Amino acid sequence: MRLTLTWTVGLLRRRRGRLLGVSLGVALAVALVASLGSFLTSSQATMTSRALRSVAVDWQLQVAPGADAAAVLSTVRTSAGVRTAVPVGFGTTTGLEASAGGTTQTTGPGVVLGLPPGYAESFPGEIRLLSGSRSGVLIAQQTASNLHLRPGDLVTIGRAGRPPAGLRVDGVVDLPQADSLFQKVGAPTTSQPSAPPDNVVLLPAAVFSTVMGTSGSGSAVAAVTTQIHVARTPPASSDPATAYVDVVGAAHNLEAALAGAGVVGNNVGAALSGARADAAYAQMLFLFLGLPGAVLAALLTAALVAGGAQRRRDEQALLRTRGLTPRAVAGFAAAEAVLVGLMGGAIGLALAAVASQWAFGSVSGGAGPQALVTWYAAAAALGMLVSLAVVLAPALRDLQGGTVAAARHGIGRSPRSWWMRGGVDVLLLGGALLVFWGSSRDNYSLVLAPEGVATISVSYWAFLGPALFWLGAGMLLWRVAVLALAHGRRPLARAVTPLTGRLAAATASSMVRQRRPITRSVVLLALAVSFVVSTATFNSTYQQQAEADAQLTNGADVTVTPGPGLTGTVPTVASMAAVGGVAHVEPIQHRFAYVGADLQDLYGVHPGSIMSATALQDAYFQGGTAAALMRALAARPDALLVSDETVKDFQLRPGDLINLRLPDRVTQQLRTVPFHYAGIVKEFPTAPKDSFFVANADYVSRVTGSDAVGAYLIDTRSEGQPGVADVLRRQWGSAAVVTDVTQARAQVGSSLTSVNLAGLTRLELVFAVLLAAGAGGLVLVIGLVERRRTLAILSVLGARRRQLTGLVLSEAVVVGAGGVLGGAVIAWVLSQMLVKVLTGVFDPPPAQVAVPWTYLGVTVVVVVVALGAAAVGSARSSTRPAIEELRDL
Amino acid sequence: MAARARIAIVGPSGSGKSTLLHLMAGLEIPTGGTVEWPGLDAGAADRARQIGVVFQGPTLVPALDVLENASLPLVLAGVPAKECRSRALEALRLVGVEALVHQLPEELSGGQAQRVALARVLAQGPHLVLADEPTGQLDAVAGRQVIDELLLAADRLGAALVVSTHDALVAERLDERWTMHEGRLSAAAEGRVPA
Repeated sequence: MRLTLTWTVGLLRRRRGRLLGVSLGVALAVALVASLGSFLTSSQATMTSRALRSVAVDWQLQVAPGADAAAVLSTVRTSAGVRTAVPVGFGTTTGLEASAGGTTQTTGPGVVLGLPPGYAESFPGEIRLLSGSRSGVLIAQQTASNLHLRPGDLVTIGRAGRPPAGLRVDGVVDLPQADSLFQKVGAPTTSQPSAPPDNVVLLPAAVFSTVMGTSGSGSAVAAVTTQIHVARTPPASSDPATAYVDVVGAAHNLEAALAGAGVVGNNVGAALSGARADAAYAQMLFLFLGLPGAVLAALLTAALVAGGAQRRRDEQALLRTRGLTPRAVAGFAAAEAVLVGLMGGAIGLALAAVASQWAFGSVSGGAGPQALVTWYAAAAALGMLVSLAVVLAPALRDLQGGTVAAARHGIGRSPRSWWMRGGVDVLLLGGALLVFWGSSRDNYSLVLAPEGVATISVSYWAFLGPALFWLGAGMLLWRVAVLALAHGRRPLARAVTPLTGRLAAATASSMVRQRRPITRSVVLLALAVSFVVSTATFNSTYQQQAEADAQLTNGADVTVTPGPGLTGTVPTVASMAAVGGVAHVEPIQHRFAYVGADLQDLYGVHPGSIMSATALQDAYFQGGTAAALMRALAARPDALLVSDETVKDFQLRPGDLINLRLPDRVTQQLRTVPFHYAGIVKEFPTAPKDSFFVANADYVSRVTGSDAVGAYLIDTRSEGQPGVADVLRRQWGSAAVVTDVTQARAQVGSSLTSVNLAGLTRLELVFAVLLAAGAGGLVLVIGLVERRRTLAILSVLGARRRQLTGLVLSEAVVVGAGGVLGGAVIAWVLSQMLVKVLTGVFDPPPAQVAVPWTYLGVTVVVVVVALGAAAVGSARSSTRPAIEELRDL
Repeated sequence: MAARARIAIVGPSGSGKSTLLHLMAGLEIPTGGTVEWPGLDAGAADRARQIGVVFQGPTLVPALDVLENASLPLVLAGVPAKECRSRALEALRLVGVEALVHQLPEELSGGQAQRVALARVLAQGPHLVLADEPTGQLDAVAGRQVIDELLLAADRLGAALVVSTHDALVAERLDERWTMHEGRLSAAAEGRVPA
């Protein structure tokens, strides 16, 4: 024990450089795992809280026909976890009618809701006031538009078997969660209505009772049902999967308690279901983007240790000849491994804390104390494992099996590796191709969330493709590099002549014979570069698509949506375009059109200029690119883009006539307008997740006599959106709703995008650059002893310093060129595979990857500088006379 | 010293034998005084070509084979490649290791490696050969062979030979003996003491 302690103290005093170098390699692995792991936990918590916030009404409990609504309400209110529970009446109307400007508008059947007092305060996300008062008789926006209603107008509610009831409108509202509000609670997904009702009136409960006849005076109107709307306390767990299981279990528990008197529409469960899938994807991002980094750091550490292996063997041999037993020598190696593990762990955790503070604004990265401690402990344990694997294991191996013959195979004459003889690299690449092709047939479904199963599973099968490719490509690069060096002496000599002068041939011979360590350096650098490039490309593509998603939701950088029925002076396109920061203002029409009995949104656009205001991705369309379909709308004014569902419903083929009924401005009646089917539109800026049409605005104006604008899409060249939005809000006042893309980024569909990807990106890219610089610079330090000997011998034989520097620089150039080029090729393929395999993460899916050229340029510069610095440093590592170096070596 | 001199520098370990040799070779810079070789060319590079040094221990470049190692001083001096090769091969033949031309240093025995180092010096064609404990790490048989080759080589070149050694048997084979003691050349038991 005392000897071990003496040895350890000796290491600290005499081998500080070696210990520090290896510890830094361990520290990188520890820091990456600790910071990414705590970020992963905080991301899951973010997803959970976002899912909870996204739901206006946690549960919509449908009271069964004939059940005692009051008793059900009482049971719900006493159920665990229920914070608020209120009854909401659902009734139907045979139609609505309103008169304005000498004309009368009518609608088809609709829905009437009866809301208890304080409903809007209890469930603020369910109702958004557009104009008028928040309480009283409220009309949904679309209904108000159809009937040309404004606050203060009279609306008549048709009642089956009773005379219509007239009410004065107090406010016009938007129902942001109409899909869930009007769901058929308890019905399977396939039986759910394809769209919420077009005609909705919201009444105070007392008025509802009177109008719908449930107050006892007279016969009740048919089809009045009751739902209990519930707000719950947040689940205890911040993990979306656990929270999902909790809320689903609670809902089933309540249903069991109600014994058939009610069915729970679990909105919060549905939101958490999406979040748990997104959380699974976040785990995959951690695996895909974080684990290779940790593996690389471990490989770097192993390479560093291998560089000092000969000295270790010499020390071990010396100790053995002095009488120490193999067990004692192994104890020394173990002590060194533990010391490196502890040092690396401490440095790594400190690095993780600093990195998290910089990337995420807090040391914990947003994780709670328990999660932070867990991840930090796991990372430290990993660091110790890496240290034992790279320091202790080789030492034990040398103690057990080192022979003189094996030791002599140091330079040049090593036999071919077993994996090269067996073609393992080719097998891995073939395996990668097979797995990739196989997983493409399942559309890369990585997250499996079967219906009716509370837990989800992750299909890790698809990961094998990129993982096998990375390994196989690294091995193939090794094979190619070894062959190139073995047979490339002459071209190599010619290439290094500018650096080494007369020593060119000797330099080339030296590199050919040291092709194994040089190849190891090339492959290590290539793997690091491929990690950097593929990570950066994935992140960049993700950001690109997240931005596209935000633009899709908001419409453009800034969107102005005038309120219905505006009169008086409103800002013009010219006045909006004059606002500082505005590059383009594009008006688009928003109408409603009937195709058959189905009412859909219709967007009239100017095909020649719409793409100047907003990014239309090819993924939004089918049957042509975005540009091609806009050209089609321009070339044929009555061309129409429709949804896939409409094509199927009406069996449309390109060019088929399709008649829509649109409101005519003059007659205020619906008139039939002919269009021709031109293509499928799946998504469109500001359009709902529903069927809709896109048509030529000029044609729509001409045939309907109205060029009323539904929204103005404003391009600010992706800069200063909030500022421009503020100016436009002042211009428009309460006459329009102005939103900008930064607000949409917080609201887009996937909770994965709410994750602090900016912070994750910063963290990963910094680590990636550190790994690349380490792989480039540190690998040249490997074998420093051998290089020092060579340099000292050449120096005493008369070589000049310039020639010596040239010799080391030549190796740096070969390593750098091979590593960067090889890494770039591997990265290009890996990026394509990653984007395909993780396609579920993107919304919308990318048409092509986005390459962050600036970042990659910076990385290449860092690698080159690291290589150059290490080369020059190696060449000038000693200020002592060469003869003294030789004596010591 | 005169051409064709055969000098042994003897003394106990740490007396400064190697340091003296290195100063003579210009491999170390004296802290005081100068080292002058009136009979050799004036420039440092030219002088380096005329002084060949055989070092104690392995001094072959590990990643170069025997022929490449033997050619190194000529390569560094700018001698054309063909001439480097032929002169190195000849030198290797002279010391009896021509069969090892494509071997790497790690595949040689200690004696073979020292003979290759000697061939490297011979290929240069120096006027002065300095050997620092050339048999220090060799057994008696290998050491004797090396000294034989060294003396033969010096005779062929017409060069002066200075050998630092603590081996009396080696010192006996040389004509003059200089003794080093605590960094000073003291009076020799036999032979002249340099001025």
